[in-house]
Formats: sequence, C-alpha cells, structure tokens
Amino acid sequence: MTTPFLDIILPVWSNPVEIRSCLVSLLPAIKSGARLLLINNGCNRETELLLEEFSDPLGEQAIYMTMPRNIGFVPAINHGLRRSDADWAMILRPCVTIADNDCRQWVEAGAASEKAGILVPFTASKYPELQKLKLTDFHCLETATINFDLLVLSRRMRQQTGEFSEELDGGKWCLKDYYQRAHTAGFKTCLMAGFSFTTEETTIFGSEERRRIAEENSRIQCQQKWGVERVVAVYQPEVKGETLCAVIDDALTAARLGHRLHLFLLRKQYREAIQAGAHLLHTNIRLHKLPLLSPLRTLVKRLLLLSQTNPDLLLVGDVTGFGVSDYPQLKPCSSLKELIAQTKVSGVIN
Amino acid sequence: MFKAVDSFLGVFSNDLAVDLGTANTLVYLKGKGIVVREPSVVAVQKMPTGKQKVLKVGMEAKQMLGRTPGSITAIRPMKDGVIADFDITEEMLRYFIHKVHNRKTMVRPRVVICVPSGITQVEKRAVKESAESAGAREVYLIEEPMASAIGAGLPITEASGNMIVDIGGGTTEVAVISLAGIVYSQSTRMGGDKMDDAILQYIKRKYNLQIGERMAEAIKIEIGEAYPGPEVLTMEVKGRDLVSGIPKTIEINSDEIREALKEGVNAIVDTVRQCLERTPPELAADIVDKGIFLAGGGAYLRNLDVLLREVTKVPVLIAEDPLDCVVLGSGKVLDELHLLKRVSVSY
Repeated sequence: MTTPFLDIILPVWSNPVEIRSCLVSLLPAIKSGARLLLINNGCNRETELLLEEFSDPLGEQAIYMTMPRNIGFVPAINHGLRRSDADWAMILRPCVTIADNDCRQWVEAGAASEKAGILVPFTASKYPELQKLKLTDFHCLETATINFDLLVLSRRMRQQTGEFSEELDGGKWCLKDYYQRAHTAGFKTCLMAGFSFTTEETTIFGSEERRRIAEENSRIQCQQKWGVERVVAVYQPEVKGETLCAVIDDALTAARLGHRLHLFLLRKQYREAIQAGAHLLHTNIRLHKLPLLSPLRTLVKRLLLLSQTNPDLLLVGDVTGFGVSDYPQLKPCSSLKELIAQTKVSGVIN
Repeated sequence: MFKAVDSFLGVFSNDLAVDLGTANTLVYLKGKGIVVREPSVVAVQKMPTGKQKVLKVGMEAKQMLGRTPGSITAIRPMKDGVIADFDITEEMLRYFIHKVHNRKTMVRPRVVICVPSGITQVEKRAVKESAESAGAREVYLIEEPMASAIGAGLPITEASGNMIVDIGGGTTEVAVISLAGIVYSQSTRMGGDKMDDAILQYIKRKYNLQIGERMAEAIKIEIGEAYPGPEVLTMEVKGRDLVSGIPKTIEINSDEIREALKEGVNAIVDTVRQCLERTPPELAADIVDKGIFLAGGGAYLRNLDVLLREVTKVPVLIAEDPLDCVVLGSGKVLDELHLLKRVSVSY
C-alpha cells in the first residue's frame, strides 16, 4: 500500500456499543484512502473481538495494535503517532461519530493553508459565538483551543513538536502545552468548516480529588512554561487606518499566544476592522461594536459584565474621559505589546 | 387486568433480594434482613411417569447428598453461577419465596436477583423467567460484583475506581466499579467448589483415599490456605482406601492443601492482575489508594489477601461480611429504588 494521506488514530478501551458506531462512521474516510490505526488499550474480550472483526477485512488499510495493558489515553495516542507515517494524522475519541464528509478534500483544503499544523473541525455546538459568522465550506480561522475529541496533525509539525506530554493531566493543560509547542515551532492551528461530527459526552474516570491535583500541577507547570493566559479588553477610540491594522496585528499575535482579546470598536473602526477581515482571524479575538450614541456608557456596561466572568481582566487603551476607577488592571496602550513580549520570553526560556 | 391484580397482591407481599449462588442461596427480606441461608440443593424423585417431583430443598436436601436411594437424586440446579436446570431452579425459588412469606398463596413480591457479570442475554432471561414463574411480580437483575460492592459499603456512585473480588462457589468475579457502573470485569470459572474438587483429587492421587465433597470442604475451611502462614496446621481426614476398600484415617497438613489449591488460587490471582492491568491508570490509581476488596466465601481462604497483596503490591481488604455481601448489597438497593434502577441490568 502506498502511504495513505491520513492515519486515523483511535485508542479504544472497552465500550463496544460506542466503538461500533464510531468505526462504522469512519468507513467513508477509509474508503477515500485513509488508514485506520486501531489501538486496543486493554479492552475486554467482547471489544477485542469487535476490533479484530472490523480490522481484518480492511487489510492494509487498518493496523491493529494491542497493548498488553491499559497505558492510558495520552500514551496510547503517542503510540499511534509514533506508528503513523502519513502526512496527516487524525486523533479521535471513540465517543465521536463522523458524518459523511469528504475527508480527503477537507484535509487537502487544510493543508493548503500556509503553515497549517493542526486542523480542528468547526462545529456550531462547540463554538456558538462563531455561529453568526456563517462559516462556509473549508473556511478557516485560527484558534488556540484544541480538543482530543477530534484533531488532525501534520507530520511536518509532529516532527518538530514531538509527542503529547505524558506528564501533564491528559486533558486541557496537555492540549494547551501541545498547542503552544506547535505555535512556537511556527505552525498554525486552524479551525475549519466543512467537516461535521457528533460527540457523546466523555466519561471521566478517577477520583475528583486526584483529578483536581493533577490539573493544578499541570496548570502550574504549563503557566511556568508558557506564561499566564490573560483576558484583555482593548479600547483605542483614536486609532484608524494603518494604526488600527497594527492594533489588530498585535491582537492576533496575542491571540496566538493564548490570550483572549476583546476589541471594543467605534462604528467606523468596526467597519474598517470587518473590511480587514479581523472577525475571521482568530477565535480568541472578539470584536464588539459600540453604538453611535453614548459609546462610553455601553463600554462601561460591557466591561462590567466581562470583568464579572473574568476577574483578572486586563483593560488596555486610551481610557481618558470615562470613569474607570473600578478597573485596577487599567494599562496604557503599550501594555499589549509588553504582554506579548513577556509571554514570548517565557515560551523561549522554556 | 393481571397487572392490577399483581399490584394488589404486591401490597401483601414483601420485596426480596436473592443471591442465587452455586453453593448457597441467600434471601434478604426488605425490612428484616437475611431470612434464608440454605444450600442451593434440591432433592428430586423420579416418578414412574418420567416426571420429577421435588422432595426437599436447601439444607434438608443437602443432607441427602450421597445418601439417597436410586430413585431420589440431590441436584445442584446452579452450575458455574448460572442456571443449569431451569425447572428445578424455578421450584427452588418458589420454595424460598413461599418460605419467607409463610404461605403459598397471594404472594407476588418484587424480586432482585444477583447474576454473574459475564452471563449472556439468554441466561439472564432464563433467570428472570424462572423468578416470574416462581411468583415474582417484578424482577430486577443485578450483577454480583455490583451487589457485592454495595454490600461491602464501597462508594460505587463516585467517579473513583473501586475493585471488588467476589469469590463464590462456582465463579470468581473481579470488577472495577465507578459511577454506578461496572467499567471493567473479568470472570473465571474458579470458586469454592473447584477448590473442594482440587482437594478431593489431590488426596485421591497422593494417598489413594476417596473422600466426600463435604469432607473436602471441611478440609478447605479448617486448614486450607493460599500463602504459607506462621504455622503448619494439620487435620485428620477420614475416607475410603481405594486399594483395600476399607475406611482409613490419615493426617494431612496445610502445606499439602496449599499445593492442592495452587492452581485454583493462581487462576484467581491472574484474573485480578489482568483486571488491574487493563484498568485505565486513573482508576488504577484510586484502587492503589483504596485497596482491593475481597468478598464471597472464598475471601475466608486463609492468607489469600496476603498472597494478593504480595503479587499486586496493592492493599487488600476483606469485606465485613464476605459471605453476605452480595445479598446485603442487593437488599440495600431494595430500599433505594433510584439506585436499583441505575445498577440493574437489562435483559
């Protein structure tokens, strides 16, 4: 068999009903030339039989790997990644069912984006705030949020970033760490429309206390390594034209580092930003249009709301003229650049 | 119409939980506790017409084992944890249901029955139909390890992992339980009965002495062990010399019985080890903290906990009432209907 365009890595542990529907949904992708890497991660006999029955008729299009014991989810993924030699590798949880997509076309569209390292399918349920953007087929915007439910990784990127860290929590922080490594190596994470899937709720096992400790340790490790991700509100009413583009560029750089940016824009600025495509740059950038009448009052209201959900909200910009005594985190315009430099330094040091 | 009658009669019946074991059957009566604890043996007489007539059930039937005339046979209707003789099991269940109600009519209780975790849909249906034919109004099946874990007081509804090893008469069930579900289980057809048989065969082979099942069981209880203890125990064993054909008494010690039980004990240890290996690390870590719980009659086998601790390096604890864990657990869910619905299995 020639090297497939995609390796689908599926670590499995004893849930035959769920796994059956996942495997069946993968058939169109396999038919289009993808290869299945099935990892039996210590399954019971019933599931083992199912995996064997499914993989046998697929011949070279399925590689069935049996682990002598359950090695855990992330090590199983790493095992699959080590075996994968296709240009792209899809990581899938068994609780996911893929709709009848044109997998090859989707991956090829992703590969066409410059420096795309990680592809994440866009689903309206997971990104409700992006629903109004009405993303069309294969439309792509950058993101900093990835999920083990479904991820597609390029081989070029994997060769530089290595494997997922097995030291971390096997969830949120492990993924953040991987994203940051990919970003540091110069690869983009693209959220792409045109690939639909459904996912059942994943059962998370293990005592809550142990999970909490693992998550806390991972958070500390990650933040030491990559810096703390901040929520930043930017309000610069005077900027326009090229200066506004420069602000958007800074926002994009910050968003790529994992910070979440809220750009508060006056009507004219908003129109300019939309024309520049700022709304389709990164999922971590949100544009807020301020009304023509009393924009400051609206700004204060929205900032209040935002600071309620994000107590450490950082407000950056020119805030002369409105009461901001409630915002101790108020910083001058240059702070965004400082934040970027600070985060980059911590990434480089580590 | 029948449903309405059933519901009406149900008012006058007490809900039951039944541990239908290979060796013993235990019945738990809601509000009263364990009311029946009898061997799963039925004495039947073959009639000239070919039909079988049930003569005795339980203890009285067990006492007839090996002492019956040709036309009467003492049957164990359960084999390896599942129903081997459908009709006899039904009769046995009917006998126990009537016994706890002290009457034979107007009895339509709700019954919870424990079944081994690995049984097939057909076997589950057989248990359910047996119970319904025996007079049950509603039948709920619970997997034995789950009932055992509830009986042992483990926090089964939490996300943390709990491991229970239930060594019964016919099977040993090893299960990891989390979020009120069995996330991984393994069963081996090794239990107290097979151990008795191993002792019987060992003595026959080594001393040419034929002993009975009851004697083999007595030896296992008296001097049987899984791991060498501080002292060697001895016991006098009476049987029939296979060479001379006359009764003979010999003395055997615990080292010999350990040797006889080695294969069976190893099968249990291997099952536990395999189950631990195949459990995800997150749950295995909880088990390392909390330990493995032993339940069932086999938990009484001397030093089995020590051996398991030695092999797995995980703390091993014996449940408070290992023999009653299963029936106590299923009795507990009778009081908590929402839990019963969560843990009962479909058929």
